[in-house]
Amino acid sequence: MFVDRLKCNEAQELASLWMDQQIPLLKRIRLNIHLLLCDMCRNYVRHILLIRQIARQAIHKIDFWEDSKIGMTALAKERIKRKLKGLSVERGAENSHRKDSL
Amino acid sequence: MKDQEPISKKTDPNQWIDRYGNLLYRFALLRLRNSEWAEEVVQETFVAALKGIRSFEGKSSESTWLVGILKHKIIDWLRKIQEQKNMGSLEEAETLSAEGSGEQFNLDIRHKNSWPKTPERLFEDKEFWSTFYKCLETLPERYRTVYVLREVDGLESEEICKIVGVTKTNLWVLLHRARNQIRHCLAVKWFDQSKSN
Repeated sequence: MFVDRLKCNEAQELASLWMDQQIPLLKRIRLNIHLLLCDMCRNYVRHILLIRQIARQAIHKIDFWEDSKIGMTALAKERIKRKLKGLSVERGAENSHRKDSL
Repeated sequence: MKDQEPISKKTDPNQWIDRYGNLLYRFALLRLRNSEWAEEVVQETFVAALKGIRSFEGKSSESTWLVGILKHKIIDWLRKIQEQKNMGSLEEAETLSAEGSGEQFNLDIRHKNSWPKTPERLFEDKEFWSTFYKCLETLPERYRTVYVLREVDGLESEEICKIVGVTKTNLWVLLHRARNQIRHCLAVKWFDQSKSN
């Protein structure tokens, strides 16, 4: 069976798609043939897979994000503290009411 | 008796904001790109955590537990924004075509030797992470939202489509362009300067 060779941009699009969903067998074969023959697209696939491995670690490295130096405003922190305190008091009152009624 | 304890012994809500406020805020800000929204979801997270404090068994760390709650709050928030925008797929398709294809980032990276084979050495490099986050910031808003949900948070495509209200085809286009831009940015700002070697 004759299989058309993919162009580089098509191969890269397909490789990216393959990271998110299954692709049909014939397309996988065409992509693999292209990757066998094309250094540049092999690198492309290697790079995007490497970046995915990196990105999956990003959750643990958020402190190194420069924007993070700004942090939450003191005002916002105070507001949330007040909110939680109010909620704790309400819950405390609910609990004691529950105990009383038992 | 245990059920009637007012507060879990394994966690102390009075310490939460000082200990984890900034961490949760950064996490939210990276995904929502709006400081007011980020503060709002952090507040919702702490409130939900306090209400569900008995479910915290101390099996994971406090921060992991809180981040887990925050993730759901952010997804709810993104859904809410999407509902408000009420963006249809036609409008979305038009925007996608008008934003440019990003294809200029595809073909110009040939420095195969400057990229490491495995990423482990980069994980502890603060300068690298700072560069990585700078690259994330260069992405247009919608690219960044779907990229972070997929590549950082590891959500499945179907779930992301529902959250941000895009079709599968448009999600794939957004992700492909985002990947190209991130790759290009990391190449220029890091790997081409051989900082990883």
